Parts: sequence; C-alpha cells; structure tokens
Amino acid sequence: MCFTSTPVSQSSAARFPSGTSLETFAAIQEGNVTSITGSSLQEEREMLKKERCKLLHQTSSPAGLSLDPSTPTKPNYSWNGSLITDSQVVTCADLSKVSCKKQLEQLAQLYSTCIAENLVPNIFLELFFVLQLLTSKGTTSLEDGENDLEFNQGCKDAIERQHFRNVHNCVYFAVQVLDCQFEIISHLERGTLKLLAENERIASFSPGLHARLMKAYESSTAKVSLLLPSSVQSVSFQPETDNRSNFPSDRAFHIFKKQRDIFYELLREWEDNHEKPGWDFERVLGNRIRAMMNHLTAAYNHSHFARLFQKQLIQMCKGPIGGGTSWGDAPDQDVLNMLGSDNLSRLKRLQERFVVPQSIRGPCPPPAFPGCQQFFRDFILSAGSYQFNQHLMDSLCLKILELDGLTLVEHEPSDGEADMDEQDEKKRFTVALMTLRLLAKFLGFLVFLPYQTVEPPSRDLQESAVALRNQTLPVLDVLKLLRQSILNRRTILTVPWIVEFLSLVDHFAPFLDYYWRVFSLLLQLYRCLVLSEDKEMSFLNKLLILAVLGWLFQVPSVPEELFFTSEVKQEGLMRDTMTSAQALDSVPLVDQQLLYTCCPFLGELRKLLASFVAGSGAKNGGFIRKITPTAAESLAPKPSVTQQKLQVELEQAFFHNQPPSLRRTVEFVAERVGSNCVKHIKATLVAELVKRAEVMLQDKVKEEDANHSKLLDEVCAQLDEEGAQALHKGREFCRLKGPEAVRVLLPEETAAAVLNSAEDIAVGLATEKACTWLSTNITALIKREVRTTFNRMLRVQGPSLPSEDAQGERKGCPPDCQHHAPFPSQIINEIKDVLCIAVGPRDEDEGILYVQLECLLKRLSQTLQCRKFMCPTSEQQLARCTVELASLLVSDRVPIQGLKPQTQKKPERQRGKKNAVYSLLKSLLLVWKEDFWTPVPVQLMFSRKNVGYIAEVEQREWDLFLFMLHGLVDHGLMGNAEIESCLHSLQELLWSSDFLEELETISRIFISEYHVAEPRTRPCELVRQPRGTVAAQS
Amino acid sequence: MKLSKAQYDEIAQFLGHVQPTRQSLRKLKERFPSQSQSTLLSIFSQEYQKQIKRTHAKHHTAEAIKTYYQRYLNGVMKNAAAPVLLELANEVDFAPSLMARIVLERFLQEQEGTIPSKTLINSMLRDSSQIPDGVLANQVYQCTVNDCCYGPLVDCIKHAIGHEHEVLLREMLLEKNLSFLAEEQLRAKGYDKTPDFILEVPVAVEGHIIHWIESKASFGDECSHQAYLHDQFWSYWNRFGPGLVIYWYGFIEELDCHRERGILLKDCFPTDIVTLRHSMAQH
Repeated sequence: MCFTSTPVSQSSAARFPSGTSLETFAAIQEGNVTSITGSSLQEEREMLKKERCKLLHQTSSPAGLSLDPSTPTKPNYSWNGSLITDSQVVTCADLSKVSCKKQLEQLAQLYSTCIAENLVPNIFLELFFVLQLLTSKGTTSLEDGENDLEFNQGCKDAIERQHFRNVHNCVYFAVQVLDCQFEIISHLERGTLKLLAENERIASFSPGLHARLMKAYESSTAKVSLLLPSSVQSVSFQPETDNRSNFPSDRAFHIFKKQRDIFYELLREWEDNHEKPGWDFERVLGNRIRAMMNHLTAAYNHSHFARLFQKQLIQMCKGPIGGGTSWGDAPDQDVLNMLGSDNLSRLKRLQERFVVPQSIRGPCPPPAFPGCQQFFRDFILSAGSYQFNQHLMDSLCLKILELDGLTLVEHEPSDGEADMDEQDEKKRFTVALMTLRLLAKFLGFLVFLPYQTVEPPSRDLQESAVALRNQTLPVLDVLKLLRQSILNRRTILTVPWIVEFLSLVDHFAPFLDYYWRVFSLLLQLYRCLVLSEDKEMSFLNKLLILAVLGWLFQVPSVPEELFFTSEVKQEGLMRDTMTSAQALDSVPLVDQQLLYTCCPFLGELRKLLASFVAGSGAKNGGFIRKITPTAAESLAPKPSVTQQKLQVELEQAFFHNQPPSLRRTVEFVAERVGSNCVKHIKATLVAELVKRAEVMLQDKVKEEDANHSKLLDEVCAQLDEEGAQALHKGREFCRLKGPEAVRVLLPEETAAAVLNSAEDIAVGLATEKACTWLSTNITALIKREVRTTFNRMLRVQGPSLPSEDAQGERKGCPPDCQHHAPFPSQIINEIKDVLCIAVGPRDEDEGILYVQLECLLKRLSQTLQCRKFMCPTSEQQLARCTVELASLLVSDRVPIQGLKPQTQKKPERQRGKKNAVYSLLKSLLLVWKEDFWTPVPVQLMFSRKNVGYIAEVEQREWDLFLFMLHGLVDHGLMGNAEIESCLHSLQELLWSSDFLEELETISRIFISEYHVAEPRTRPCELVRQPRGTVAAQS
Repeated sequence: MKLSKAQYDEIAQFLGHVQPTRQSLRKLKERFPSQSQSTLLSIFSQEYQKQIKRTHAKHHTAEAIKTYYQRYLNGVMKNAAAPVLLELANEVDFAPSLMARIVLERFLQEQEGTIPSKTLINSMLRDSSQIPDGVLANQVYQCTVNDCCYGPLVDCIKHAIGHEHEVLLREMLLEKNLSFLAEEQLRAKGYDKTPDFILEVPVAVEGHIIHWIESKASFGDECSHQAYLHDQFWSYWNRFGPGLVIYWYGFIEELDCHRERGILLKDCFPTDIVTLRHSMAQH
C-alpha cells in the first residue's frame, strides 16, 4: 500500500484550455505558472480568487479523495490551506491537544519507511506535503473537540478515520516524519534549514529535532547563490568551420553570411520585446523565420545553421534556469557590488516576490522552457522546417554523445592541492551536466514534437498508434546509453539528461516497447537508490538522481501506471565491480548549488516555509568532503604490425603505471602540436610557395593571353616538389615543440627518464598526426591557395597588391620621415578647389594667389614622398588631377593672382604671368618624375577635351604648350615618337580650320626641334616604367 | 566631437535646401564657427545625400530625362562655353555629377543606339577625356569638379580619408602595444565580415569589453548609423562579440545607446583602456 500517491488517470494537461496547436503546446510546456507577463494584475487577482474558491470547494467536499487535507497526488497536488495570507489567523498548534498520538506515530513510521525505501514516486512531493501539514493553519470545525472516546469508537476502521482534522495532529505527524527524514532535510540548502530551525511549531513539538536542525543549519555552507541572468553573447566566427572552404559554393557561403545576421537580428528583437504585453513571437517573427529557412533550403546550408543554432543555444541557456532568475539566498556581496547599491532595493523586492505565496508552483512543475530557451523553442516551432529539425537533431545527438563521454582527471592521492583539482573537476562536470540536460531537452522536444497533442488522446487510439510507432528506430539509443551508464557507474551524469529528454514525451511514447523499457529501467534504478551515504555513491549524488526521477514520474505525459504497475520487467542491474577511471558515481560531484540548479522546484519547500515564518540569520560552518582516489583503467593492447607491435605495447605499458594525468597530457600535447604543426606549415611554407607562384603567374599572365587553368596547373606542378618539404619541416616542428610543451605541463619532479619517454611519445604522435594530414592534403592545399591568390590577382589586375603596399610603406618614406606631410585627401581636396575655380563658374574677382599654388605643389611633393597614408586610389587621383591642372595652366585657364611685378603694361604683365606658369609647370614635371610611384597619365594632355581648352582661347598661346612638350621629353615622361603620334591623332579630330593649321605648325616645330635635338635626348625614352623605380633608387 | 540631437538638428535644419557648392560650404562654416570643418562637411554631405535620395526618382522619369537633355542641347547650342549642365543641376535642385550622368547616358544612347554599360559611364565620368564629344566632356568635367557631395573626385577623397584614418588608428594601436589582426589578414583567413581591426587580446574601454574596432571617417548621424549597425556593426557583434566604433568626425550623442549590448561609440581613440594583466606569470 502506498500512503499518499493514489494513481489517478486524469492528467493535469486536461486542465489547460485548448486553442490553436502552437500556442497551446507552448502553454502546456509553460505550465500553469501564474505569469506576471502578458496578464494584468486584475486578471491575476481573478485567477487567484477562482483558485481559492476551487481549493475551498475541494477541502469541504466529502466526495473527493479519501484523505483530508488532500494528499499531494499528481494531478492536483494542492497547497490548499497552508498558505498564509493577511486575513487568516494561524491557529496555535499545541502538543497537548494532539489526539491519537499512537496511531499518528505508527502512520508516521509507515510513511517514513515508504519515503526511505523509495516506494513513493517522488520523495520531495511527500516532503512538500509534510511541510504543508506542518504549516497548515488549521480548520475551524472540530478544533479541539475530538477526544479519545470518539476516537476509540472508530478504531476498527482506522483508515477511514480522519486523523488530520485538527492542526495539532497535522503538526504532530509532520514533526514525526521530519524527525525520521532528518538526513534528507539536513542536505537541503541553508535557507530551508534556517526556516525549519526557526519554525516555532517544530521547536514546541520536538525540542530534540529543533536542536538538530539548529545545529545542521549553523554548520551548513550549502548556500545557493542568487542567479543572475546572463546577457546574450554571440557565437564567434571560426575560420576552420565557417570560412568559404566549408561551403559548396560562393552563393551558399554568402547566403549563410546573411542568415547568421538575420538570426541575431531576430534574437535581439526577441530580447527587446518578448516581455512587452501583446508581443507575439509567431506573429512578429514567424514569416521572417520561414523566409530564412527557405533560403537555407535553397542553399543546403542547414547543417551550418543547425550548428550555429546549437552553439547559441548552449551559450545562452546552459546557465541555470535557462538564463533567467529564480529565487535564492541573500545575495553575495560580489553580486551587490556588481549591481550597485542603486539596484539593491530592486533586488530585494525581486527576492521578496519569489517568496510570496502566489509564486508557489508546487514541487512538480511540468517541463518548461524558461528564459532564453523560450526563444529557441518558439523558433523551432515557427520555422516548422523538417530539414532544419533533422539537422538539428543530428547535431544535438552528436554533442550529447560527446559530452556524455566526459572523463575526469583523477587526483593523485597524496596531492595537497586536491581541493583545487576537485573544484575544477566539479566545475567541468557541472558545465557538462547542464549542457547535456539542455541539449537533451531540446532533442526530446524535437523527437516527440510530431506526436504532441493538445489534449491527452483517448486510450482507444493508443494500441494502433503504438503498433505503428513500434516499428521505427529511436533517434538516440538512450536505453543503451542508460544501461552503459549503470554498468560503468556514470548514472550521475547520464540519468539527469535522459530525464530531461524523456520529460518531453508525448502521451503514447512511454507505451512504445522501447521507451517502456527505458522507463522500467529508470524505475528500477530509482528503487535501488536508497538514500544513505555509502562508498558507491555520495548522498547528494543520489539525492539529485532521485529528485529528477521523481519529477519525471510526475510529468503529465508519463503514465501513472508505470510506477504502480507490478509488471515492470526486472533487468539485471549489472554494475562493474571494478571502479574504473570512467566511473563518476562515486565521486562527490553534486553539491546543493547543482542540486537546486537542476531541480529549482526544490525551492518550493523553502517558499512554503517562508510563507509561514520570516527572519534572517548568520552564516558559518562548513562541509568537509573527501576525495576518493580510483585506479587507472586497464588498457587493452591494440593489434598492430609485428614490428611496431612491441613499441606500441611498450608505450602502453609506459602509461600503465604512471598517473593517468600523464597520459592525458601527452595525448593533449600530441594533438595540439600536431594541429599547430599543420597551421605553421600553412603559414610559412605554403604561404611562401604561394608568393612564389604569384610572381611566376604575374610574369606569365603578361606574356600571353594564356589558358588560365593550364597556367595554374603548370605553376602548381613546379611547386609540387617543394611541397614535399612540408613533411620534413613538419617533423622538425614537432620535434622542437613537442618536448617543450610536455616539459611545461608535467610536474617539475617528474623523473628524467619518464619525461624523456613522455616527450618522445608526444613527438611521435604529433608527427604522425601532422604528417598523415600533410601527405594527403598538401598538394591540394597549395593548389587551392594558389588558385585563390590567382583569382584575386586577376581581379585586382595591377601591381597594387596589399603585400606590395606594405612593402611600399617600409621602403617608401625618406629615412627620417616624420610622417607630418599633409594627408593625400587634403591635397586632393585643395587641387579640386583650384580646378573648380579654373573650370568655373567663378565670381568676377575670384582667383588663386600664385604663392598659394606654389605652396600647394610643394606640399603635394611632400605628401607623395611620405608613403604612410598613401593608398593607390589616392595616388592615381593625384596623378590625374595634376595632369588636369597642367592642362588648364598650359591653356592659361587658371586665374592666377598676386604676381610680383604689378605693372599696368599688358605685355609685361603677360610675360610675368607666363614666367609664373613656366615655374609651376616645372614643379609639376619634377613631381611627376620624382615623387609619383604610379604612372602619371600625361597622355591626357593630348586629349580632345584638354587641347580643346587651348582651342577655346581667342588669342592662342602655344609657347606654354611647346614648353610642356619639351618638358615631358626632358623629364623622360614621354618619348618623342609618342608625342608625335599623339599630335598626329589630334590632327585627325574635328577642329576649326585655323586651329588645325596652328596645330600642324606646332607639330612641325616640335618635330624639327626634335631632329635637331636628337643627339641630346636620352636613350631611355622608350622606357616608360612607373616612376616608382626611379624614386626608389634615388 | 559629440553633438546632442538638438545641436545636430539645428545644423541639419540650416542645411535644408542648399546646393552642394563651395559657396554653400563657406556659408555653413560662417554660421557654425565652433564646429570643426570636417564635421560640418560630413554632415553637409550626408544631409545632401538624404535630400537627393528623396528626389532621385523624380529626376529619373523618362520625361525629366528628356527635358534635361533637350535643355542641355539648347544651352550648348547657344553658348558651348557657358556652364549649362551645372546651372541646370542647380536650378532643378539635383547633384551636378548625377545630372552629368543622366545627360551623358542619354547622349551615348542617342549616339550608339543602345543603352551604354554602367562601367563605360563610370569610366567616362572618372576621366572625361574619354567622352567622344568635346563640349559634353567639358560640361561633364565642370559638373564633377564642382560637386562637393557626389562624383568620382569626392568618392576618391572619401576613400582617401577613410584609409588615412585607418592608418592613424593602426599607429595608435601599435603605440599602445595592442596586438591586432587587420582587415586584409582577416580576409585572407576567410572571414565573411571583417571589421578594420580585431584585437587578438580583448581590452576594456570605459569598462566595456571590446573585441574589435571599426574606424569611420565620417559623422555618425541617425541614418548612416542605422545603416552601419545593420550592415556592419551587428554583423561584427554576431561574429566577434562586443566592439568599438570610432566616428572620427563625431556623432549624435544619443546614438551611443548600445553600450550595454556591446557596441561602443567614440569620437577619438579611447584613453581609458584596461588590458589583461598576465598576473599568472609573476607567480
């Protein structure tokens, strides 16, 4: 017989109003939490009223369940009369008024045994019930009237008697049970202990228990700290998995780039708005999510997105309670410092909110997606993408298996620093466990999503549905994993996440053969885990497993009959007798913080007590936990080729008698060094070869309009031989780096021989890893890199490669350059202003001072000499602008002012001006020759537009033009022949006849002068190399 | 220089309907002598671009194009040396460079009979000597030179300014001994979105952790900042975490509202930088 939990077929899910499938599913998952968001206070009050009315009805009605106050059965574990509100007066419980003590004691004994032997589906549910009794306010009827006589009369049908009709009896029973369950209670967090220790009813009913509780409280350090919501962080971009080479096409890569940004945009929008009233996920984000999914499908990018989604999920939600806050102890000073005193009062109010009766949800809330998890769940629902779900499930399964394989580094028994190690390992375990639970919950959500129904389906359908679904294989073989975990003593890691996975089952899934076996095995495990401190498993480890299993058995879709049916097939719970290095159960990994993080509903006990008592206390004391060292796992010899076999065996033997951390270190070093080796080869040898290839390609591309892919193959073939050097260099790298790392990581005191062997093995493993990779991939890698560079080269099509830019910076500036020259942008801007005025339109008196122009050209020269801030576009623009300026000067278009001899005579003024322009042109020619690195497009001087400037002048002056032609030749900027041909083509254009005549004359003059001057001209006229070479030499 | 929204609005209002000429710029400087020239020019340019965006469609109707082209032809027929195109642009409140583009496009279309490619048009705008008609070449050149908000020359100046400030920022990072990966290195590694600099070791600026720095040689107004947030800053955040944006020519103070979320705005290189100290090494 079970005292409390009566099996009831009605499921709590039926209590929820039905609606459209999406929303209702969400609502069910959320449970009946009286949420503050989305509903007004008024609504809340109404709900509260109804709830109270319901409770009142329940307690007064004789028809309900047989025991009164109602027992905490699954569908409506109620927190009926025990919650204290202002209007109600607490009856003073009095030990002397307790009736039928003997029976109560016997009942308490029986009840406690059920709890102790795990015969109840959920021990915390029972404890919650006991605390309800303890804090019950008492009913008005039969307050003190019941007497022994009356009791004796009904003695025959003791079960039907209402022993709990007065508050004194309730309290008496509760205190008895608490006394028996003291061990469990003493493991609860400190705040709960404090409330119990200060409970006046316990103090008056059992001074002994009171004293023990007080002692337990005072020595407890099990403080569960207030949990802060974590802010959203992004998943970092990792070139190894995220760059172009991981995608089938450019398009897929670019689409994914967009998807990533859209995803975060949605996330931010959700973060900002989801708490606002009236905001609806599906309505606001649904279409955008689906549009994004369509893009993913088109580009086959689901696996990438699933990985991003999963990483972000872990990042945001692995923290306790899905990143949201719950309840807690008095906040740490650190927390307060962080929040600032300003927020302190808000924090306090927040804390108060947590302990007001309304927030009590009972100790078995249905599965939910709190905090940020909500976003991910809603995203999956809105996306409604089969492909995405499948990829996500694949990804989740893989990660779960990976994390489930967690091994801890054993601590050396004599180690003085074991404490630190222990803390580290505990932290590692906690992170793994929380992540596993999160991922498993989402996996369960996805796996059972297609079968979810709003209402529990009728049992008539069950048989056919089960027959249908029994044929499919489970996505993840949790049964096998569970068996293994029991065998290898790793239930403390595996069971909590399997529970999360199963908590999302639909109503029929538990009846499938496969899952029925899983549930049966879990139940069997539950029954076995009798709470006591023993060698095999620490108390708190057990408590966590019992708490999560108990919770699972109360989940609405998990059938009642599971627990109470006698047909549970017993499986032999085989446990490895040898404690292996893999075993986790024996390590005290769980503390109260983790227990309460995994089972936030345990806080309900405290809330219940808090609603009865108030106050605060001091802190001190501590738990001492021992470390249990375990031996290394025996190593199976690996089969290998005869020659290497002995070596391998020796290697294994070497590790056998060494601490396991040595092996882990060596393997770690090998793995890292091997990987770094490949990276190093890529960055040095491959990069160098690519650079060489670039030079080769550059030459050949110029040579002919060759077939690019053939060219590429040729060049790569030439590099092949040198690529073979990679193996040699790789070996060298490992030989150099491996020992260094091993030496740093192993204890200083490691014997020299051990150290040497460890180094050798690490080097060997690293080399093997690196060389295997290199020998298969190096050729393809070089080819790929060369192709990428080549493509970039073709695109840029010019010498302005970034590498050359960087070189230019170093070589370019004069030795003592202070980089104080004006910025190129400044000079371009100033030249632009001059051009503006020259081209017009301008005001009557507008002009440019000669000195200003002179100064501008000087500064131009300075700017060009300092290469620090120069970039190719700036320089090209400067070149072009100055040629334009020269053309305008030559055609006398620049209104120069402030010339020195200010005379009124026209010819003199003209001569003065001409001299000024000569001087400016000279400066320009010099700058073009000396300071420019890019070719200056001096040919533009002969363009129709620029020669047209001369044509437009009424009284044409050819002196300046001729001067320019000579200047170009003299400065080696253009050859005679080239100028001649330019002049020739000019004459072919359409001009006025008189201008054409003049042009011909000028040509003739220039040619004749050239023939006379021929011996003077430098032989380098054909060489029109970039001036850069000249400048660099000078 | 940070401006409050009110200060900014005052400037923007003054800019209401100005033409993008050096004369307007001079007036602006006289009206707001306390603001730096670069800031004013940047705001001017942005405001003008907004105005153009609003009216862009109006100037590109078939009818408008036809009218503009006809007016150009009539104008140069009367006097080829007069600034026909420039005055036309000013008269109808359109950017001279863009007006030049419209007329050039139309001109080539008439000549060749087909719609000219964008590349060809751009190349001719960049180098007007390539324009087959001497008169049009002059007219176009006059427009591009006189336009201080649009056109190849202005684009180049903007590019140069951007580059120069990146170099400046790089210098400052080197001086502070902060190791970083620059954009070209990141691109070589295959990053899909690349800020100017990623810090190899994050630092805290004014109490906020930053992983990357983006240099913007412009003024941060609402419009451009929103666009940058959407196209760049949030993308960087999505990949590299929180970071810093330097608007060298200032920004509207109120826009610096994402600090908690991880986008920090500054108008200069920060002075309050806290770096990770390698205290482990001392033990």
